[in-house]
Amino acid sequence: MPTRSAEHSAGSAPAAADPRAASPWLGRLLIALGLAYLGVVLLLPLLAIFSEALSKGWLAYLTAIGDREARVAISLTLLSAAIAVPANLVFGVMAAWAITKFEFRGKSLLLTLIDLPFSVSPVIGGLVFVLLYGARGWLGPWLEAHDIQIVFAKPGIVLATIFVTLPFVVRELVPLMQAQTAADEEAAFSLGATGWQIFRHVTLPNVKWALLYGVILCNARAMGEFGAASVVSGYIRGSTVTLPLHIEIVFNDYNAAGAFACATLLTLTALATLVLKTWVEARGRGARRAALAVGALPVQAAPRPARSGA
Amino acid sequence: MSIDVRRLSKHFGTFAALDAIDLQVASGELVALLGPSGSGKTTLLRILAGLEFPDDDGGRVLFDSVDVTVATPAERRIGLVFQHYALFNHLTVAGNVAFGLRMRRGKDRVAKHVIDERAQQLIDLVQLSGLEQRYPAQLSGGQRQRVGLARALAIEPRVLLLDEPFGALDAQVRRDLRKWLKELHAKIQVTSVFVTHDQEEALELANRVVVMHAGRVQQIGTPDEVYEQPANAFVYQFLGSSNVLRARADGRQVEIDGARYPLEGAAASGEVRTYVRPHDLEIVAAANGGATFAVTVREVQVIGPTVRVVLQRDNGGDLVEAQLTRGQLAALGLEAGRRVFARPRHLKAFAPGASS
Repeated sequence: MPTRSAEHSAGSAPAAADPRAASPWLGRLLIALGLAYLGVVLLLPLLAIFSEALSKGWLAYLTAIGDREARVAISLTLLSAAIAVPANLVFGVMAAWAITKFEFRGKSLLLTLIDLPFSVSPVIGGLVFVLLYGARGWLGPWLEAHDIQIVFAKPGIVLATIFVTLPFVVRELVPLMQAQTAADEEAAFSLGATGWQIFRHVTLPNVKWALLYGVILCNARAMGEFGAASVVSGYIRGSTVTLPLHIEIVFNDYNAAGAFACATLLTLTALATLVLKTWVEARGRGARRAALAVGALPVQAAPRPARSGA
Repeated sequence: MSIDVRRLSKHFGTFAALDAIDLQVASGELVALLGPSGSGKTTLLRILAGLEFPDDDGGRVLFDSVDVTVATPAERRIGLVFQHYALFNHLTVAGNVAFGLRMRRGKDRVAKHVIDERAQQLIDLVQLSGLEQRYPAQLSGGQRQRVGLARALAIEPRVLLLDEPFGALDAQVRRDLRKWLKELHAKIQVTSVFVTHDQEEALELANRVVVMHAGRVQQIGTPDEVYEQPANAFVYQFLGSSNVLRARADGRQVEIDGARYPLEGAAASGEVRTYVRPHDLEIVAAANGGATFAVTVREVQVIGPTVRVVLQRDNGGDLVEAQLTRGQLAALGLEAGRRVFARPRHLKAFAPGASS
């Protein structure tokens, strides 16, 4: 670190004050270790996905992601995300509202229950649905009598996806809503707003970035869900196979290039999610900072409103 | 709009936040609820606002003789101003001020041009013209609180309730805004109740001051009345700096170290605690037989235009504080360790039990 020693020779700070200056090699070693770790664990696999996917050329790549089973898998993955994300959005907002704005018995139990999908293995989640809705499950006979099939069918996939993605929205909202006092809501109430109006015009705008963040994470998890889905799917090709399951099937058919071709689709959604997430985080932080900047005096030359699109 | 509070109590668990409060506010008055934290003043304000409800033991809130004890804020038509503004950060100044009218639905719906016009009037009234499109984060504390006030006034409230409205502002802004609010109230004459723990604010701003302590009203009166004729030792001590002098009382006379003084307030006999304000404690260089008692200067502190002198009574060792001008300090030439004499201009005593 030549700049650092230059600073020190200029006499701006005592040399012994900075422990990093004492052993520059240790710092470099640690940084190299960290980078190597990242490279082996994250970067190389990412590159491998794309290089393997294109190993047999573009034509093979396009065939792999364009074949009928792949297309069915993609649409089933999109369908389950399209149901699970809105369902957990509505549930998450309601649960966070109840947990943070009201006192009731069993609140901590509810919070623990909401975390359950995080703490149990998704496979167990899937097995529970088989146990409940399967042919020999608790509700099996009744479902069969009414000709409803859940397990080894699309409803089971959707249910499993909802189960594993349930905590994302709630978990994002609860800490933020706990930190906000009820003063904004009380102000709206005193101005004559109804409960729904308060929620729509005050509470929701106050949490919208955290909400969006939760939705993005929820969606990423929904698209990538494997464990629970694999248990309830039954692997009926061209019907109950989601994209991650399809990748597994293709891979087990010794078609590595095809499997990786489909995997690039999931990888690209993941990368898109990361970009979105970073953007939302930055916006949300800016908005929160602005909201918390009590007593700041940017009076004369205030910049354009940071959130003119709100 | 007059307010009538009758035997209002409020318990949080076993804690009595309010204990049988009675209070009348006449139409157009500006009343201060003054007390230390935990005195119940904010709870009383929130009950007046309809955000909190009193114990169900017969306590009542009446607006213009109509019982509103369980009415919503909107039904009461109150305007509420918060200590930390509680502005809607995602709305502009104009959006905040228009909020109450915009929320009206059905037969109460207000046409957009009426809302815009009304919002603009209020923004002009609180002198924020030109800042309509700013967001709260782009305003100073004083400006934010004026937005809060405009937003509360936009719904044409019958009563304006302010919870420590200047509590989050710095001293200079506070004084300006205080003066400005007094003028505004004179102009619009809406019945107003504000909560404060700052006695100077209450005395300067209010027509009448309600001094509260431990969930009870200690005294209600004009600023002059509560300051000049405090009902008990709590009110006396809360409304300004004070000294306690132990003395021997004999009816309407007290004796301190051989000097005799007339006693104001309650008559007493035997050992009593008497009270004197620092600016009523005169310091003289020479003893004046029968009118002064001996003290030693312990500390001299100049605070801007005034001087604070800490004195210790030679007899008994009590520490008392006197307030002088810089001129008096120079004339007396006081310094720590000097022995001088003190003469209280007013001594007050309070009947035991009257304070809490």
